[in-house]
Amino acid sequence: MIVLEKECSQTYSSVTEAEKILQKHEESQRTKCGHALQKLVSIYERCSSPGWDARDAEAVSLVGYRSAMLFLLILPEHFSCPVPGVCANGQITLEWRQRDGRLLSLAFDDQGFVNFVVFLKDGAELCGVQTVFLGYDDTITNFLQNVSQ
Amino acid sequence: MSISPIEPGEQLALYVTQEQDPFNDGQLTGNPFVPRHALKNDKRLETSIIRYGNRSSDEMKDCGSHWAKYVKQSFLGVAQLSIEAVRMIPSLNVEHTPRKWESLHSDIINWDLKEPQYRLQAEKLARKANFISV
Repeated sequence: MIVLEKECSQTYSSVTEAEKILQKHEESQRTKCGHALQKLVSIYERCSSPGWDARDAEAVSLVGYRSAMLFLLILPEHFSCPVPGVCANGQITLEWRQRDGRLLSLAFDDQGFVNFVVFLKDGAELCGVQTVFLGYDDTITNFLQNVSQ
Repeated sequence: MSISPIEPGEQLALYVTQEQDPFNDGQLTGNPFVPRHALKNDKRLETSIIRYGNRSSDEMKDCGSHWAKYVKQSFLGVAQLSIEAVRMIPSLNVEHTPRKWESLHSDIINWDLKEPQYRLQAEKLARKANFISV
């Protein structure tokens, strides 16, 4: 099941079905998040081999790359675009940062999990792990509402 | 450069690369504090930090610029931290065994935390750093 938005009650029984929906959403996202999408592709091309930092960094996996791309493409339209990044442990990150210190950082690993780290305005610091399969579930959508806007 | 154990008051540095965060000019971004995960020991997450020793900030920036060119990344500057700030982070320790890299002596941060707790601590550490932009 992939849930596209918190408010969206429609769910999809398979990735294939969801992908059809994504194609429609993709066009607007390419316009809005074109730079982020390009950067994500660039990260994968540059970091898909071990040692990309000239030391001992792990390669970015296809699983992590696809997960990050999925999250970027299905980002609800009313949220700002994240900044993609890459970790030396091979995880791709999508980050929303605000000047007041708020932060939502998602990291996608090669096992199909997304790790989230959140710094909220009230000083709360939270973190957790969930499967990419859930997409933007209530937890992450709530964080986005607090950090992205 | 001394390879002695890290002393109280010592300054440590990490080089900050990658692109500028459009939402936070001057704020640390990229992956300077993100540890690498040693495959054979799932509890060991580490990253290299560099000791200032008696180098000046300009010398540290020159070294960083050289390194960034070597790894073909854009160089944003140096993040400077005191060893006391590093040691305030729970489950994190700086090894006393230095390793030589590109004529610099690096030390190793041990992270006894797994994802995602280590990234949360890394972010807190990054926010304690004094960033010196190039």
